[in-house]
Amino acid sequence: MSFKTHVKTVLLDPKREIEIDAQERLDIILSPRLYWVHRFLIPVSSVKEAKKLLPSLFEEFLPEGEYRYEAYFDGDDVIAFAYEHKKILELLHDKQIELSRIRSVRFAQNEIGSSLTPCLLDEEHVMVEQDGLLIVVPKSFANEYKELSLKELPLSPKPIDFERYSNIVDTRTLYVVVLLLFAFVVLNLVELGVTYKKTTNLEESRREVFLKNGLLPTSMQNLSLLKKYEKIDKRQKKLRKVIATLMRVHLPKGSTLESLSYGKEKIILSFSGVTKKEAILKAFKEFTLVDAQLQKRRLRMELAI
Amino acid sequence: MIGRINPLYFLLLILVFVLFSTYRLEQAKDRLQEAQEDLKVTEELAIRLMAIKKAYDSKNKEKLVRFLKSKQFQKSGIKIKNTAGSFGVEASSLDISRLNAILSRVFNGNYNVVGLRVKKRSDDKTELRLEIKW
Repeated sequence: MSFKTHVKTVLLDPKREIEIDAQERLDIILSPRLYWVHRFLIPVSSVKEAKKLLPSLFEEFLPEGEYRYEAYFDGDDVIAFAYEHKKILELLHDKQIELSRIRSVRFAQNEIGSSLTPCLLDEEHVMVEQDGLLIVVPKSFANEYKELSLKELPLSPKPIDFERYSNIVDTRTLYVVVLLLFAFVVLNLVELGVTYKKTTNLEESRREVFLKNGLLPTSMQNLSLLKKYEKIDKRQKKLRKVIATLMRVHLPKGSTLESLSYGKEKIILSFSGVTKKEAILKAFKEFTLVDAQLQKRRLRMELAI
Repeated sequence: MIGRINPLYFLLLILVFVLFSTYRLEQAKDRLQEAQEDLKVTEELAIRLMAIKKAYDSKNKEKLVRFLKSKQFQKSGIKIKNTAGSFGVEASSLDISRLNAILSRVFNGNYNVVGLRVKKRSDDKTELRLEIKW
């Protein structure tokens, strides 16, 4: 039992049936019907440079469509190819060939050499080589032809950089969007770094405030201490207000202050010689009166502090 | 090899990075805002706490002790009880003018008066008990 995946070479043509097993991987050879090929003599030093010129060079030969281009040098000449990527993907789909099973995609021009031609492409056409280019002609044009056998065909080192996907938006635009988003991520990361730095500086400043002012370790403790002091302050201010009121009050004739006592959040004032308590009570009306008793001309008044 | 990978996967991957970095940035901005508020609150708290602590500082006690030990109270029978956390003044027979001087000094200063008793003994004499805490 072998676990090695079997690879089969097949010729992809709209009019040719393909027989494949479910497990097989495929080297796809595109028939001359699926691409345009032309030999150019152009003064370029690299394939990359040549590819840039191909859309304008092919312009006069090609019917309207969305083409992709490939090229390689043959001596001083450039063998240039144009193919419709979308149409090939559609044909692969029609032939029920899953894209994940494809190992490589090639042009018949690079794979089917003169030793194999002329050869039968379909019932009515053959492939022949003319001026070094592989072309499709009617069967009647060839005196004799062979059956095409791709079994054990040695493949050239010239597979196409064939995209195995088709998107609504073209690849260049997608990469531009990816680059812009990448730039956005970089900016985000830079801002993140700056924000972290600012936060660290603020936290450091906060620690300095604690140290400089000799605060307790936590904010809760300090807040609690502040509340305690504020409570003291509030009570002391109220006490002073009662004392100030006491100092300026005009007691009724014959009345005198006998005692003043403060403690446990209340102040007790005792007056002697009082006949009517209302006059004195009126002077302290802004304070919370807890109790006021008048007995034997002695007024005992209790205020909450 | 790159040609075999659909750029949509790159787009999805970068979108994940965009979302993640934006989320982390928002978190960091929230933390920064929190740190700004924490610093502001701490500074305000420190100012208020220091001011009120200073107002009721134990250094005030020394001023009051000096005042009570001054010449005008030498023969007035004032007893001073001085402990770590509190300070007491007692006088069983104090002139009204001296009582006014003491009360005026105490109530015009920031002293935490926790106990006070003033009782009239005669037309010009009073009894005083005063307790201040720090």
